Amino acid sequence: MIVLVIGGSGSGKSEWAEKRTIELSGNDRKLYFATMQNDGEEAVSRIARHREMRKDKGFQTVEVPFGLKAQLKSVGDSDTILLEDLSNLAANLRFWKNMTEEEVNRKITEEISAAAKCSGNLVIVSNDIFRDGTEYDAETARYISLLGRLNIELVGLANEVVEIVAGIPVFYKKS
Amino acid sequence: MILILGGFAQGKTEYAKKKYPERHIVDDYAQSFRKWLSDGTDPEREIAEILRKEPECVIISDEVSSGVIPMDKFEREYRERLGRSLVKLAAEAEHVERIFAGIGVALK
Repeated sequence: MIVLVIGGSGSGKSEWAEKRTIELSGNDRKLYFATMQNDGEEAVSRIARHREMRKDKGFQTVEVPFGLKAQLKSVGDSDTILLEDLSNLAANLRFWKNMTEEEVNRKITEEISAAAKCSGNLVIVSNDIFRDGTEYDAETARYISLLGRLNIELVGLANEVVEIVAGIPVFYKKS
Repeated sequence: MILILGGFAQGKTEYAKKKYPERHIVDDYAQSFRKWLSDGTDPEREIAEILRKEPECVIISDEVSSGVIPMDKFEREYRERLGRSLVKLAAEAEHVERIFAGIGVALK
């Protein structure tokens, strides 16, 4: 089962995705696929906040800032993966690895399909960055399009699609 | 307390006045939050104080968090903290509604 969780900043999407992961995993293993790079004071405090939230909840953290593929061989078919989050992963590949938008799109959709196949459940956190009315530079605008396209493609793969608004789930797809 | 969310110019205030005429309305929460934050006032304490005086109020807030993470530190903090405040208010609220083109959709 694939669950796609989308929300704005501070929407409570992480907390909700974590709760859903715990529900889905039952007594089986929970893997936290972390995409954030440890590259600055805010990142450190954000990572610390997320680690604090997962503490004592039995999550095993796996670092995947540049892709999931290498880590999938250690995933079992009863594991539930929480991947947080899609926008970081896409930005890391696009801006650190200098991959094109098409390459990023292909890599992420392929790896997510593979991750879903080899695990029990996959919960993906993604960002709603599409409605602030700001005119961005061409580079950022292409990144926004890339993430929008990725969300649309993952909606096609997902069994459950949910937007988190002020901590409240709004379901768009539920199987 | 009732929490009303929505984009700019969606008719949130008119909706709230019409649906809850007897209640005190705390309008433009997002703008107030920004002002408090830039004045160095603690926004969480401000809203707690308002709720203490007006526990049955209707809080109206723009949704501002659906954009690219801002480069500016103040803007990042504003969006993140307002978002977290709205999560907390939503959890405490009797109802949460989101207004889209004047139409209310119940979230809670």
